[in-house]
Amino acid sequence: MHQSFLNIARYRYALYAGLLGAACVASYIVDCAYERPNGGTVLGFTLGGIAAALLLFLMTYGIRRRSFRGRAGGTKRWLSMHVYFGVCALLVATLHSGLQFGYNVHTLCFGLLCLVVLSGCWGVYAYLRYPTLMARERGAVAREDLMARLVEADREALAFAAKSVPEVRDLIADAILRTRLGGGVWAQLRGRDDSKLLLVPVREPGYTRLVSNRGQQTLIAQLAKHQATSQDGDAQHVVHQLLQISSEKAIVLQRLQRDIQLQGLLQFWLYLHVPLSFGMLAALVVHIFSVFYYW
Amino acid sequence: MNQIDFDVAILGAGPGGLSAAARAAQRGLSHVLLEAAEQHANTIQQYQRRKHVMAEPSMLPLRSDIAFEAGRREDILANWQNSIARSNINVRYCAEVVKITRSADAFSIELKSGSVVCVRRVILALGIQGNPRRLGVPGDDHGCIQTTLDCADDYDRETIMIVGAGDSAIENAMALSRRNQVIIVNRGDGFPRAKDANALRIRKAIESKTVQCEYGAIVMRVEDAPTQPGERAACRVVMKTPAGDVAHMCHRVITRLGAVAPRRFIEPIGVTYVGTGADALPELSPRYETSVPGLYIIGALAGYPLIKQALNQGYEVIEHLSGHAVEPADNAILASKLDAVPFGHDVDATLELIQERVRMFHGINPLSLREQVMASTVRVLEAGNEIYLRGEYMDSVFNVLQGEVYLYVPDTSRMTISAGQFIGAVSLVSGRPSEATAIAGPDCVLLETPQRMLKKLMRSELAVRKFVDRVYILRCLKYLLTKNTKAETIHKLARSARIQRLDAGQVLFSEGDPVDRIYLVRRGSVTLSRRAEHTETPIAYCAAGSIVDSVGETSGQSCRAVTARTTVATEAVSLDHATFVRELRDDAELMKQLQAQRAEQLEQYAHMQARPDAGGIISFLMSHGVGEATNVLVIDETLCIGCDQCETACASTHQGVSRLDRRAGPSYQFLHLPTSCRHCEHPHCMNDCPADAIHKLPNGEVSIDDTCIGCGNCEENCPYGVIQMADLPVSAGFIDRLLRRPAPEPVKTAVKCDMCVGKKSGPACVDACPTGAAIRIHANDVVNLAAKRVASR
Repeated sequence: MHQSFLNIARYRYALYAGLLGAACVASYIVDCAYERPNGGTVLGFTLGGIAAALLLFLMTYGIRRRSFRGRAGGTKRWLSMHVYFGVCALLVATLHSGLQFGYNVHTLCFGLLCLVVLSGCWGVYAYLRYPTLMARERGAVAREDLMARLVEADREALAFAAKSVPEVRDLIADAILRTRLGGGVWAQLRGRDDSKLLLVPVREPGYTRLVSNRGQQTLIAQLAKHQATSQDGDAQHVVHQLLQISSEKAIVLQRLQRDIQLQGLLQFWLYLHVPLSFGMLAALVVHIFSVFYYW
Repeated sequence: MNQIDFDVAILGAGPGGLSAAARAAQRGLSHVLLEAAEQHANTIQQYQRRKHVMAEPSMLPLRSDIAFEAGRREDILANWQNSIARSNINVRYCAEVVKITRSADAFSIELKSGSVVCVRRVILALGIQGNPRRLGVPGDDHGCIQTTLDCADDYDRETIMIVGAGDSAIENAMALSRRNQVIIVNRGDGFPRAKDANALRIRKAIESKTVQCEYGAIVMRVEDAPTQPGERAACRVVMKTPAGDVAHMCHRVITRLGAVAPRRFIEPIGVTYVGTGADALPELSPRYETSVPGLYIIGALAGYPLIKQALNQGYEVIEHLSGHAVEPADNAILASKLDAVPFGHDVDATLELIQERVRMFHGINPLSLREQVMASTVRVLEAGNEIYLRGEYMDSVFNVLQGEVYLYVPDTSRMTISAGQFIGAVSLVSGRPSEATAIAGPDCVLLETPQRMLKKLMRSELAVRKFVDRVYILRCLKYLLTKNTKAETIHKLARSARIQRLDAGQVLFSEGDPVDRIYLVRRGSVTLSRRAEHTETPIAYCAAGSIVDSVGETSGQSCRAVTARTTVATEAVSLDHATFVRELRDDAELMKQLQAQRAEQLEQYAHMQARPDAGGIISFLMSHGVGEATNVLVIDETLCIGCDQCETACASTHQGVSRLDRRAGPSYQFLHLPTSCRHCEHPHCMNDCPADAIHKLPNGEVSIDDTCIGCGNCEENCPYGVIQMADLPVSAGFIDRLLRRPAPEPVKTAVKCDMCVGKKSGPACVDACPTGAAIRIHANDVVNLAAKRVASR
């Protein structure tokens, strides 16, 4: 049955990573009694070696994820190891550092590692939290279906508007034109509706004003005004239909915006985690090289 | 009697008809080829453009004056056109036959034009498409009326009227409405014949005025439109509607009124059919002669859907009629197949002896037998050889031609199957893995026949179906009961057995019904539910091979405490409860077995009833075909991050075409069933594959092999929409690449999930899922899955 990457094989990889971490901590404590903790001691080199090996292993997850023909075990096992050994690597690297920090490439490497692990932890949180939220928000309807509903609502609205007075026609066409969904990174993560509507204020004919149409509320208010002032029964019916469609559209839009926001939150951490990992790898290479060069 | 015009009339200018006419022309036989359409090979003309047409079965030699090899539709049609021009065929197009009457020694064929043709013999090579039903009103032959729609994009800014309310009418209307004004003419006031999705689409389109609909309308006449300057030539359709007579001006009218089935045309001539079902076939002699002397049927109408078969049959019939006896084209292949059979000196004699010896083939049509043997393999085995193992899915049935076979089932005595009997009955009927291991005895010769062929035979020959049913019941009882049960008891029980066939969602018995029969699911599956607060809560699931509600049936209750409802089309064997109890109450071992089963089911009932949510999950999975699945992909939405690794992995291990669509498919309670093959126990896709390209492998995988002709039948037959017709790239050879020859055109082939057979790490979709959201389960795991999900919340 379904099993999350965290508890696969009864937390086997958590156990292995925990044992490795515990062993490193124990030897660090024992070693403290004999010498000052430092990356240059025998234990320091050993811990550094372990940490470097772990980091290289963690980087291979990216390769495993993209190779589909291999027989190297399921991707979720690899992810499970990646998570637990990633946290363990930070612990081992901390012990390796002997808690000696300064303004140098060694500390830069450690700092980058901290950021990588932190972003990774954010990723674990995102993977555990957002899929459920997304499924709950979306219900049984896929995003494509929601998009199709949106397109359908717009098409219906235009068809009805064609039978209405020019003001209503323009209003509907403009609302569709200025409906915003998604956008840049910030817009997606914020999940705010930036839809706008161009209004012609009654008191200032000839002038236009761009106002917010969040949740299609301005459009709905304008349509309601038209319905209230219209005398013609048929025209009233058309505006009534348009109101219905706009309300439906507002609901669909809201669900889509939320879906896009959650999708963004689910994926955003990767845009930090991966570049930071490569930065950390580069700093690691410089760190190792400089240690041996200035031996 | 009128004067005889021709020796032979051939109806239908498809491959069979063309081949017959070309041969008749070669032999100097006076003939006429009558074709209702304006051109030859109407069915193939309607294939999509540039479709690759295969020449299956590849081992069958072609025997015809009409050239044919695999290639593009256009090339094949042009080739045939050349053959027609070259070979002096007397063909009449637009010659629709309305009636054939038989007198003493001749047939008179009445054409739609009113003329009558008198001939000595008739060959029907009509295919199975039937003639599109026409409007049947004045002007229904107007130039603006068409019965098909090739490509909706060919029409732009026209007013098009579609007559009909079925799926094809709706699909055409929706496709055309993008660029044209469409009026759909519906005789009734709804769309009850259409699929739900189509009916919904068209209703929406009508509401939003994208399509105009005339409800309750009957077309009265079609006439030329009054010409107006600047207007293209069009027609005027007058119809009667509830609001009075209405006239519409249109550029064209597409009639989608279904087809007149060929059987309704043939039976009145006196041709007898075997069976009553939709796929019943006419009774034919080995020379394709029907029960009406002088009337022959060849090609798809005779049950041979492949082009090459039709071409060969056309040739053979004419050779036979012109007195040149010819061996059927498959004789050489049959001879080599039957070489290993230790009896009979030639093909005919061996076939006769097989028919005599093999109980299943008693009394069947010799042509059917030939077809069965043609698709079969003769296997000569040494004593002790394994034929199949317990737990393997089977694609074949084995008839014992000589020697014997031993069946081994744990906890029962060895069963001996002697010559003339067959093995594989339980798998054939249930679609489940085999219950027994089959080992060859001394001097064992078997005829291995694909299940698909046998199912076809069972549909057309009632006696075969009854025989298989009888054998199935006996075998089932033997597996169910213990080795202590006497043969006499088993036969007594078998006599009380009845077979019930139910559609999906039907009730086998309801809560409160008396316990008078014992039901054994032999095909499909059943869910048991209890009524609580006006809703039915599923509490158990019974797969093929299990007793339905063994708690109620064996515990001495007088009333059912559960309702049994089928999840898919299901067949159940029912035994008389009183006989069962009377005959078997002294069998201590059996009673112990049943008690254990009862305890297990009781525990399941209690667990499930305590978790009504789990019932909802079971209902959801069952209503989407998981009940007949042997291996289905289920995604946990709480773990799915939407990375589409499953699809990417699938595509990269399958020629760049993903066999699953993650986003599509239904969801319920965070469980998602993506569009992906379920590897059904009785695969719907296998039902109508003309090239026999779909097989069920021992591991349960339903796979499509290279002989696929790309006809698309499987795609249409799959109720879960998991088969797609894909243009698979054909890699160019080294020399071709060196010479910079253009790469071969991609071949349209049916593709679907193959469970990544041969991949050591298992299915790529599951292997590549980083979070553990994707798993594959069997129908038997459904209850467990539902219970675990509810428990983990």
